[in-house]
Amino acid sequence: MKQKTVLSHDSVKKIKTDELIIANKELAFQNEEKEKRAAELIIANKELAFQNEEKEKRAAELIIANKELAFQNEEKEKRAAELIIANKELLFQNEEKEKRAAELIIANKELAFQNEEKEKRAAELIIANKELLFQNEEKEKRAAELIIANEAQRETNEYLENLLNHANAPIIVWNPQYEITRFNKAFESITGRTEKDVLGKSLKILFPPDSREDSMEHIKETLTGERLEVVEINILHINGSVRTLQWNSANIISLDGKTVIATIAQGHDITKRKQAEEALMESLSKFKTLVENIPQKVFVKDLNYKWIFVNKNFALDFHVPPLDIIGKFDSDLFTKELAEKYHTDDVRIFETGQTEEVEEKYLQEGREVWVNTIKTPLKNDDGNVIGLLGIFWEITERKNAEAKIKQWNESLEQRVIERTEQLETANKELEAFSYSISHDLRAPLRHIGGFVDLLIKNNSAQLDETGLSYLNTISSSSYKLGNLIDALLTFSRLSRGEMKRIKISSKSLVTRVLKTFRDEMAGRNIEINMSELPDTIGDEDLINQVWVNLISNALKYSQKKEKAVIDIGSKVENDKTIFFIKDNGAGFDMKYASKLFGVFQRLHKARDFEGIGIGLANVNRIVLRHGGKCWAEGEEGKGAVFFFSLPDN
Amino acid sequence: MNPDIKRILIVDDSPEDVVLTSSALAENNLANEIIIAEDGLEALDYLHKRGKFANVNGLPAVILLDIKMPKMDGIEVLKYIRADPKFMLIPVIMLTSSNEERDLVESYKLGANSYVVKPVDIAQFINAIKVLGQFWAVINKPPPVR
Repeated sequence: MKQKTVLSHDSVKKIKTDELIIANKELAFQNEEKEKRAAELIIANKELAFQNEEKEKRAAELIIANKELAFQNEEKEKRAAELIIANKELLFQNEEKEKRAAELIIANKELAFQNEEKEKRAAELIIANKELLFQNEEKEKRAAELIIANEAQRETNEYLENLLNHANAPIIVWNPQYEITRFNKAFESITGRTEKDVLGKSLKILFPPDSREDSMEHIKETLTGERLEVVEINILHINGSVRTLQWNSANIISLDGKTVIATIAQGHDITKRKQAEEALMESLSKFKTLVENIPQKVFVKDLNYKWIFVNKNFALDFHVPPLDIIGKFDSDLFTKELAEKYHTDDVRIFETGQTEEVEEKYLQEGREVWVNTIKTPLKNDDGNVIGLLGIFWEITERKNAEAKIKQWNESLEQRVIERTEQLETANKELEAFSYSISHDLRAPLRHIGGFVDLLIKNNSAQLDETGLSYLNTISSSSYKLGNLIDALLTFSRLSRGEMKRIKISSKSLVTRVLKTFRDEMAGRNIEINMSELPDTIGDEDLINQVWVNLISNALKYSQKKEKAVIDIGSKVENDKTIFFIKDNGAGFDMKYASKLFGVFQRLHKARDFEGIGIGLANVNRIVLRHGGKCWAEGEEGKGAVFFFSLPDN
Repeated sequence: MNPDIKRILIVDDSPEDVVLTSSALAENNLANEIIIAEDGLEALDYLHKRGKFANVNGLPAVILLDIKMPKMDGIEVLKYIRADPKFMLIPVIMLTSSNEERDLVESYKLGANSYVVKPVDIAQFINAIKVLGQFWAVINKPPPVR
């Protein structure tokens, strides 16, 4: 704490220094203030000096101003004198002005009147202007309309001009004096003349000399009529050649509706067609003589389907000479239906260029008949069709006969169906019959045989020799009857069963059959020669049976020969294969040849040759069923040949 | 008598044929026990032990069946037998006058074991029966009874 209360030596020093600094500062400040006051005093002095100078200047100026004022007073006096003079002048001028004013009043009145007049005129002018404006508008409208109309007219003209000039068809216009007024390009090329050359000239120059008058006649005729006329006109080329135009024309009539002012004609070049027709007529004349003398009806048509020739026979139906028909069409002579039919055929023939033959209806003196027609296109040397030649003749009777035959065939077919049904029924009955025989006829027979056998076996001791032989006869007879029944049933089965037709190798079939006879041939001297046998078509089982029976026969009837010779062969005749088998056996008398193939027919005694006489009947039946035939040739004691044919199909 | 010979059922409407068949069987020592049914219906009666066969026991070892009979023919009987599991294994021999093919085909189609045409010649018949009888009635074992 001592430190606070007791100031150090340094601290005292410090305080004294501080006080000195403050005193210095105060002195400095006071000096500054004195300097400021001195400066302000200098400024004030200067101000005073300036004010003194200004006062001196003002005094000088006042002296000058006083002098000026003295000068101005002198001037004013001069001016006042001048003004007096001027006033006098003005007075005079006023008087003059009054006079002028009176005159002006009068002039003004005049002007007012004139103005009123002008206003009236102006009003009138406004109305007139409006009117003019309206008229102008109308005129503009009209002008616009006229422009459109002119344009349309121009278009039409241009169109017509083009049409006229560039049409493929030759077009010409002439006036009532027959002077040419228009002549188009096509006409130029046909005639070799230019429009310039012919304008104003007579139509006559266009026609060749020989037909000129005729052509002019035609043209004059067209002038009288309003409708279009179609005429053929010859036109002369300047090089001398002639072309034919089909020509139609129309008159152009003036506003009065009567007066012809021009005629326009258009041609169609038919030169080629005309030439074709001429060629046709030329070729026609060559065969005219021929066709006039044949019974058929003959006609020739051109490409327009127009008759250009018919023969007398054709025209006869219409009771007119042929010339009356020439130039006519189908539709002129026939019903619409017939004409359309003929026309359709013609069109097709022209298109295809092919000859056609048809059976068609025709009207002959009002009677509908059938005709056979041949239409042939006629061609020129270049092969182009130029017409057609028709030739026809009546075939009504044949058609009727055909219809009858068709009817007969139909009824025949019906009868065949009926017969077939009857046959089928009969066949079924026959089947039932043979089935019944098979069972019912054999049963009692079996009983007879069976019981006789039992009797012989069990009771023979009670019978004498005669009785026993009777029983044996009964037994063997019933056995034979059994065989006969079996054979008959077989025979009947041959004609009933269904046939399966296949290709048969005859050679291997016969070889097979021959083998089955090996036992019977054993120990016999037999020569068998088999030549080439063609294949055939048939039921193999049945044909097999044929060969079995025929070979069996040949072997049987040759058994008494020392050496049997059997030839088996074939030949072809009229699409049929004929097989044969020849033996050198007993043969037969040709008188009985017809009986050979009958059932149970025998030409030999049973004692000589066993058999029941059904084998050949079976052969015949089988061959017949195959569509073939059987026959035989023979001579008693020398042998026999049996033939059978089979159709190849 | 052969003790192995079994019962034979002859179905035939013709008494004459029955006698001939029986004598043929006898000739071959096969006639151990022969049952006669005069038509198809009687044959079914026998199999089902009905009517006059109500008291008979046992099925036949073989049936000799004629085809053409009144009321019910042999083909129908065969069809019936082959359709019934109790009888279908019994051997059936068609014994007939007919050698019509359609009968033969039909019989085999329906399952006949053999087909014999009765010949007119008794000797042939006896021979045929001999072969058949021996085969079916002696050699063949009858089917088990169900």
